[in-house]
Amino acid sequence: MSELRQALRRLGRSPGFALLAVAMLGLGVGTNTAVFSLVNTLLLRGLPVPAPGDLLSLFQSNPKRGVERDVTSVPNFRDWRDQSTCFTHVSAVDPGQATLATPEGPEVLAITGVSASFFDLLGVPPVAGRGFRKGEDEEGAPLTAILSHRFWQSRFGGRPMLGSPITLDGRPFTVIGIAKEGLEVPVATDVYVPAIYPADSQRGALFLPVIARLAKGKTLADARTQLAAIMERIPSEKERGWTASAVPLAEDAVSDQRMSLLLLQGAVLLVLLIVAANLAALLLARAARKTRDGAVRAALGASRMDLAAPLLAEGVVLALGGWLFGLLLGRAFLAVLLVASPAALPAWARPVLDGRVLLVSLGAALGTALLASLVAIGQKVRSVPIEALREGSRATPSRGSRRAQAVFVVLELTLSVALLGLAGLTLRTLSNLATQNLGFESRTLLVANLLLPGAEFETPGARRSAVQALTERLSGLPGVTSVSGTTTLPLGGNYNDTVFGLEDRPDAPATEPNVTGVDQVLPGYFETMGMALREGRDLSPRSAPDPRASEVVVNQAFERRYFPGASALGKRVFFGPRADPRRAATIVGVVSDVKRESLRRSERPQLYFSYLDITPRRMTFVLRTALTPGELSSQVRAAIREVAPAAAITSVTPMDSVLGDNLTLPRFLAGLLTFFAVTALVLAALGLFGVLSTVVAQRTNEIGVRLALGAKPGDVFRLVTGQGLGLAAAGLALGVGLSLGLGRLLGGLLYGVSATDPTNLASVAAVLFTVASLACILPARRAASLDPVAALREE
Amino acid sequence: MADLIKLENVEKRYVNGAVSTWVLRRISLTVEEGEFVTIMGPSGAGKSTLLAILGLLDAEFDGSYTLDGTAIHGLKPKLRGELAKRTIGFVFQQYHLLDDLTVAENLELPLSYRDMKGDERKGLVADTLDRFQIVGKKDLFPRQLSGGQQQLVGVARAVIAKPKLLLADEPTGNLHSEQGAEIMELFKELNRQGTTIIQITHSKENAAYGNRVVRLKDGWIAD
Ligand SMILES: Nc1ncnc2c1ncn2[C@@H]1O[C@H](COP(=O)(O)OP(=O)(O)OP(=O)(O)O)[C@@H](O)[C@H]1O
Ligand SMILES: [Mg+2]
Repeated sequence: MSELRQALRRLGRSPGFALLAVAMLGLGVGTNTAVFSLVNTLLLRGLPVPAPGDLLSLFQSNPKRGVERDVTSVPNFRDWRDQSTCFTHVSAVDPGQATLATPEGPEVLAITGVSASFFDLLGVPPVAGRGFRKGEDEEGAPLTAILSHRFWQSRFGGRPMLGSPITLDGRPFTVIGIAKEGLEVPVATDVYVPAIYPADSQRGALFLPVIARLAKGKTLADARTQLAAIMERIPSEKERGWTASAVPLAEDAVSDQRMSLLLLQGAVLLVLLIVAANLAALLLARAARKTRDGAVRAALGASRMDLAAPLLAEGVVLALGGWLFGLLLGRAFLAVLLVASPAALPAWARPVLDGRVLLVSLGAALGTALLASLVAIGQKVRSVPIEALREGSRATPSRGSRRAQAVFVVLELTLSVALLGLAGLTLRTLSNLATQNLGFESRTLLVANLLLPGAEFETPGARRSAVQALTERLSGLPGVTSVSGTTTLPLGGNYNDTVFGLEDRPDAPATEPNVTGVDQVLPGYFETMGMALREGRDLSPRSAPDPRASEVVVNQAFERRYFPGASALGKRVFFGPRADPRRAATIVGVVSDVKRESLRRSERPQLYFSYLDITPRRMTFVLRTALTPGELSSQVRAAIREVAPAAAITSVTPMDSVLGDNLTLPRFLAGLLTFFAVTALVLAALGLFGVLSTVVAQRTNEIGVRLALGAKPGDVFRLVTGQGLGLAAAGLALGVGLSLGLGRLLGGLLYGVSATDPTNLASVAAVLFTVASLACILPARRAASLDPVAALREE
Repeated sequence: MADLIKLENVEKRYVNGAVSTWVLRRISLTVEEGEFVTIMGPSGAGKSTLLAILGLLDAEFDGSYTLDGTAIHGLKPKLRGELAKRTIGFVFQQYHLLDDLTVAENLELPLSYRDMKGDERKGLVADTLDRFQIVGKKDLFPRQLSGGQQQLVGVARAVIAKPKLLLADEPTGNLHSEQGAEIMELFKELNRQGTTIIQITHSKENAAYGNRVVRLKDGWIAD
């Protein structure tokens, strides 16, 4: 204890050193604390429910057809639920949108249809009221709803709601409960409603996500075996080739973030390592100035432990200081992160600095400081006391300690080069994702998402005429050059697949349908989006008189895949659940491909039907504008409210901001990695600056002699800069090697750039040498401007 | 009187790559308790090297060395450290006071490495300050003292833990003759009180304070 007090006193006597050390440690610990609290929340703590590891996501797959994973149908869900013994509960989690009737007009909500057992499955009962009861998810039951805590607060101000009626999509529901705060599992939801499906639901209509909780003593493997066995037993011809399996829901819920988080954690560990190296160099320089002290102490009877203890105590004091500062910084980093990209995390994941985070960050601080102290101690204890005593009062650090400092600086430069390399790759990925050809022109596009709820839009005819009236009204807005619409906007976050069959194709018989993307669009959609019509014509502007006369446009990927080398025009497609031959459409056109599901995924086969033939309750209008799209949005809202007051507007937003949402995660990753790489580089530059300054200070005498013997200031300047750039070159060579190795781990996170990209490496080298040169300038200038007479007099 | 130091055929060389330089050759030397020995010889003769070996600062030598009845060869570093702590005090030519410790703290330093309670330590420091008549200087830092005063503190620090053997490498080398004479008087007094002293000096006057002179030349003891 008194050791610590003395250490504190000693550090107080060199406040510059102490502050620098604490600042560096704080930076390292702070970045680690922030990133680790994300890792802790998402990967370690997992979903905010009891025993989150027992929650599974169930799915079906058809390896033969290349379907790795798909949601399921209602009949399959019922079979899994009723025939399995591995689960305590099985529940549908059917996400969707609904409109809430409010005095100000309809409001669009995120709803989740769940089975009656959903809250029992999660193990988190509602905080007010009750969960759904058995039977409430069956046809004919009175309609009940449970509000999410967040929605209850934001929409109803937290006032008592139990027993109150609310109107969703025109139907009356009774509020029976309020879910626990923060329970947005597996996705953010405003309202939970019972998932009610007709008894005669079709097999093969795959739209339903299902989760389950493992029973005590059962394993994931048990569940997989049993699900597969249940699928085997289903007699339906339609399930041939399909099997079922399960993955941990927790894994599923963070699958997008996992790699990025691990990469970031790795990156900040490198930053911490750089801090350790920098601190070690700093401590070595400090210890070097005290070599004689150590020797004197040893001669007076100090044991190795006596010599080491003060350094260790200083290490502990610095670590505690760095820890506290790091926690402050970490909290600030975290706050900035969450403000800067809230959408990068799932809604249920709210990172906090819990006990584990505090412990880990304390460990990081202590580990880093003690590692650095041990290096200094090793140097101190190894130094032979008599030499230091004989060298007299001039404190010349041993060559060994100077070499050790140089090694640490090279290590720091190496690690920063590796981090710069990784950051460069993620930046290039971000730019490739953002600037790639999407197949449509997004810049002057405004999109308006609508739902057509309630009795007013009950019939297809009503929806059709509303959409036609809206199209007309929107086209008349000043600054709008063309208007069309689609049910699934590319990259809008949802998309539909359908099974289909092709006429006269033995390899794709109607009973073994293929899967393709499907979309319902208004006439003029392709032109408004800026897609190219490659063959044939657009969908006709009138609805087909009977289903067999309907038309379909396919994309080039579809034509390439199913009609390689031939034209798809005039061919017939059977579609709908299970490729019903009675419902067919003729291919009338082929359009260019667009990015549809994600910015990374390459274009897949796609069918475009006319919205006028199939009229879902959702519609996204796309408006090509002559003005900045954002400027029009309030006029577009007003126009929609005027023409169709019963329609619910989900959003009116420029297409570019829809694209921006797709870039959230890559931007998050690239932004953070760049920040960490810059931090690392600054630390390494400080280290380089420190070593060169020490060298110049130690060689003052030698430099004086050189100057006295006729060296020009320029020679001395080059001597010092040469040494600095030599270290930088060593760091670059090693760092490039490390960067290539680490780059391989990035794999799936990269897009359009390879880990060995020469441009990236060249930019890293340029940045490194620029920064290294800057770090050299001051010490080199100081050496070059030494007055030889004064330098020689200096002892 | 008992032998405090017994060296037999002690040899020391520095190996530098393929070249090895002999610095001490077949040194055999016995010092009895209570002696005051002076080592003399030209620069580079090996005097400091010999003193470092005697002071157990350097254990890398050939031959045998017995200090206060303990054979040094094969002794574990820890035990060697213990023996040194018990037996030896050092005075340096450059004083080697620690700059950021006060006079009193410098005196306390050797005691802090020995098992001694805080108040006992304080008492001993107070006694020593008294005995060396430097009470008034106890809160000053070394740079605030003259060279002679610094060496006075150096000597006080060397003897505060009551070593049997005081080793001094040119203790007056940085002092002018008047101050040097004071230090020598002090040594004589310490020796009279029972401390065995081995000093290195280039000065005949200083050598005269001792009772025996050992001459070194090129690493050999010259007779
Ligand atoms: N680390 C070393 N490596 C090689 N030779 C060394 C080393 N240290 C000392 N020597 C050599 O050992 C010899 C004896 O040195 P020492 O310091 O003992 O001399 P000295 O008699 O004390 O001289 P001075 O009177 O100048 O202090 C010298 O020739 C010196 O060069
Ligand atoms: Mg000498």
